[in-house]
Amino acid sequence: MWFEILKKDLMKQKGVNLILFLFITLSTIFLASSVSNICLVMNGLDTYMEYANVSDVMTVFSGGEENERFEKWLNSRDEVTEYDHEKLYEIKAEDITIKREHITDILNTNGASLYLAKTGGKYAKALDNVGKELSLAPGEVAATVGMMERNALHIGDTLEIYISGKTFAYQISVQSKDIMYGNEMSGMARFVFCEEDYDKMVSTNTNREIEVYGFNTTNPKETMDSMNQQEFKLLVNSFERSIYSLLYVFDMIVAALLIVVGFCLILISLMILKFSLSFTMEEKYREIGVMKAIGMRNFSIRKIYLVKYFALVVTGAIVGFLISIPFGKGMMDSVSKNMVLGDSTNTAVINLVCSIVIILFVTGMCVVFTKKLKKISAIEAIRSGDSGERYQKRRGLCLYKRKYMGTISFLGLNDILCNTRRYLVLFFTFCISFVLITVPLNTLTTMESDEMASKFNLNPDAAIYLETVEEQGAAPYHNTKDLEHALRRIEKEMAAKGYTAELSVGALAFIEYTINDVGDVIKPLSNYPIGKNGSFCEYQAGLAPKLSNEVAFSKKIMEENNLEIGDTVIAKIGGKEQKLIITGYYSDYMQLGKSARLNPAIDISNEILPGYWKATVEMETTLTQQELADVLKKEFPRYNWVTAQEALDANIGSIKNTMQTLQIPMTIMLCVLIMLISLLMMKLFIVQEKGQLAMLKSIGWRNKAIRLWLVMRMVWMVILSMIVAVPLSMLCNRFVLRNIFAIMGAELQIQVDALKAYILYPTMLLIGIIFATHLATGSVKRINTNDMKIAD
Amino acid sequence: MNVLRAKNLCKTYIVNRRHNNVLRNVNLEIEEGEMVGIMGPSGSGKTTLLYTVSGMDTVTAGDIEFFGEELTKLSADQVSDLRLKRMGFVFQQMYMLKNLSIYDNIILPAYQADSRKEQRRKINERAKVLMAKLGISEVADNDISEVSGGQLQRACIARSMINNPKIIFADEPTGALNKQNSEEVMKELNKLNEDGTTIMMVTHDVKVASRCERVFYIEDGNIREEKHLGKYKEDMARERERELNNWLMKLGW
Repeated sequence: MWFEILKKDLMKQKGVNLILFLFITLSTIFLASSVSNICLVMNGLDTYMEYANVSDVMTVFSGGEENERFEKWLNSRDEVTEYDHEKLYEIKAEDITIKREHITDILNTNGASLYLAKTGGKYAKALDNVGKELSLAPGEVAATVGMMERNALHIGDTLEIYISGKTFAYQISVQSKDIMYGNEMSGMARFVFCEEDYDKMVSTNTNREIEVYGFNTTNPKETMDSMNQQEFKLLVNSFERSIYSLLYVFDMIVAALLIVVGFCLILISLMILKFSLSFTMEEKYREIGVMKAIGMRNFSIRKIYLVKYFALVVTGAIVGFLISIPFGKGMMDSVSKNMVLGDSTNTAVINLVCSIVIILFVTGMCVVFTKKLKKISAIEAIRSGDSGERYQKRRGLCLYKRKYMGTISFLGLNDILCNTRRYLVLFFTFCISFVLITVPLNTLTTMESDEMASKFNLNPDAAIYLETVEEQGAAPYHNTKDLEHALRRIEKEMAAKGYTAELSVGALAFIEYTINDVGDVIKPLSNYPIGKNGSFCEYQAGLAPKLSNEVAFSKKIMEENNLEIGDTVIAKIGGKEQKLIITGYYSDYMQLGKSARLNPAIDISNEILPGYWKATVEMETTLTQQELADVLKKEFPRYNWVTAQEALDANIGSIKNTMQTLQIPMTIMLCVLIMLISLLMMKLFIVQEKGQLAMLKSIGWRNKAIRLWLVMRMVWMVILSMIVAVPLSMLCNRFVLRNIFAIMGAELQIQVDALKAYILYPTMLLIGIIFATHLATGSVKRINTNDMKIAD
Repeated sequence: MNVLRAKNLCKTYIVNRRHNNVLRNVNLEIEEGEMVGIMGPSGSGKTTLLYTVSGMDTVTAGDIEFFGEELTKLSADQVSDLRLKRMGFVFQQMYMLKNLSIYDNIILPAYQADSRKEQRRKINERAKVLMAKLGISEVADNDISEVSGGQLQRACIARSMINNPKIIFADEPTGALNKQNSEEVMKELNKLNEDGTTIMMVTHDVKVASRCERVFYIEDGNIREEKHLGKYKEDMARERERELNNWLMKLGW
């Protein structure tokens, strides 16, 4: 007999069963894809570093003259376990042209130093899309993802490389993932060739080769301290392994966001699943009571529901599992674009485990719910679990007391207040979804803000910026004299065409400072201003260094080394020691928050500069930066004129693009999700309240009014959840986003576009929910007076 | 004047491809201020007749005139408006909104019919008068689960009266009540009728039907006969009941 009851139940309760099935499927999709994504992303960078074989320390020399001495020193260090080195050829972006379909383009490197490299390097290897070492044939070149996207390059496009009067052509055959040179924050980019091609190109001019050493050490700090004391003149940069976590911090923002989304989706799916299960089970109380009353045993009754829900959950979990694999992959695409995230076959296993968890969860809940049947009497079950006792006053509002509220609005709000538990799930879902939508939105707004530009030492009020100042065909400038000449040369060129401009630039040098009496040494990248505005910076405390004995450090350096304003440090500049007083500190993103600022009066002309920051152009103009850039590009086409935002994008552009490409689908996905949840929830409510709705229809309520009442409930839910979600989102900005940005070294205020975040998006959400609910209430039309029999 | 007139009313349900003719050419006229009872065996079509003439259910064929207005030609919304503003309904089960108090349930149709703020005071006054009349003032703020069946049914009558309807349709209004509560409810319906409200009521109970001015006996979807009992008088209650019983016995009741 119970099989007949089960069959009838499945057939008669098609709507509710379908809704439950959909919720189970959704929960499985979200749980499985989120858990597997969290597992992948959590260890994402470590996996990537393992695949790329990152060394403990990486050093860059501007030439090979000191190789022998450096290797000798490496061999003398007991803690250095192994080392290797590779050569890179430094090339200017203007020397590489892109050929595709009869169009020739100059390469855009976003201001990064550009190198040519060959396959076979031992450390920081360039990998292919699936994490395998590159294997290139003659005539082929591998380009990083960022480079290809920035220049709209495709596999099969040709790069023409101009070296010492010769032109070499190569076809792009691989899109590579390059842990150091593929990251925009590193300021370095490279193209990789096979050994034969590289040697052929470079043989004509080896003067521009730089030497990159990678070595593993058991004590990186000791090794670095010792290396700094060796005074290698050609050593322009050195990185410890920890640098990668900072280089990829913006990628990790995206990953962290996915983790947050994942946790929220898990929370939402489990909440909804629990609610829909308890809701549908409560619905069954009456028929359970009838079955008990006619003498069916508890176990026979439980068996009906356990079998039914087990069949539903197994089917839903299988469908959910199948969908979760492509769904999770889609979510991960934004992160895995820049990183190798490991073997994805494991994710299928995780998804399977999660699907089994859902099956166990639902079955377990059914067991718990049906266990209650033992305790309640037949008549209690018929009364829907109500024993008839009541100790609390009725919750809710009084219609006659609400003078200024419409009947329908009142009913909507009153329903929520009378059944708070029922609406709590929706409340949390709306709240979480709203916060999830605002987090990437506020991240993007911050990334595009003047606040962010200023943390990258870019003055949004400057007339325009110049990416590079070198003459055409000239090698990159590595000393202050060349830079000063270049600025004066460009000023003259501009004056000749009627543009009176003043150029300044921040020259960058690694300067060694002895910071205390013990002799502790730091060697941060130091900004030396050439020209009036060569060192734009907002100081958090103190003043910018002006006199020849003044210096300023970033807040991070000050804190790490217990330095204070007024303390003195000994700087080693051009072989001489100079005592400098700290005049202030600031917070910016240069060298990931660890940098120094020299005074303009000091002489660093003997220092080898690894590079310089964008040149600031000051001039009288009424044009915006973009307009001026367009004008100057026509007048001086060989210079790369950029706006502050473009200069900023050169550093965080690809992450910004990733965030942008992630934000829209994520917002759409969340909107669709909450629309679907609202729709299914409303369907469930209608099934339960059919009797009441039929009664309202019979006493003369129009379909439209009833539908409006049901929609109003959701509108109230959205309004109430927004009231909570807005401050929650602000707290999230303060305590989550701000801290994520602070990992990069700078303290910045999270920028909020109030119109978008608090008006546009909530309105979109509201419209979506109204649409979904209105759609769900379409079934009200089909309710007739016979349905009154279903009423309690 | 005719409040309601049904002409050749037919209603057919199709169940599993089988046509079930519930109403077959029913003709009926109800005058203003009348109290009419519909009786008949189970499945004869009493409730279907009540639902179709009140516009709650559609008809398969035939015409229904409500104050001269053809009901079958009106749109669903127009029929809804008519039911809200000019008709009242009392059902066997005391259907009310669970989340509202007794008082709010009563005033709800009036607030819905006229949402103007200035009308709300009048509605509240009228609701209080009606509740006092029906003896349920003390349970105004109670939850619907906190009152007796009789009180709840009287609240349903108050709700049906709140918009000053021209006619009240009652489907077994005492069906779920005990003897004492049935008496209370019927007294109230008689009082309303005395005040000029037309009432059309479906019932199985001879005692309840004897309170009506006219009683129709419906069988196999057709009105087989009607009995005119005249206006109800309390002192004639027993005679009316006996007369109705005799009539019904003749009809094979």
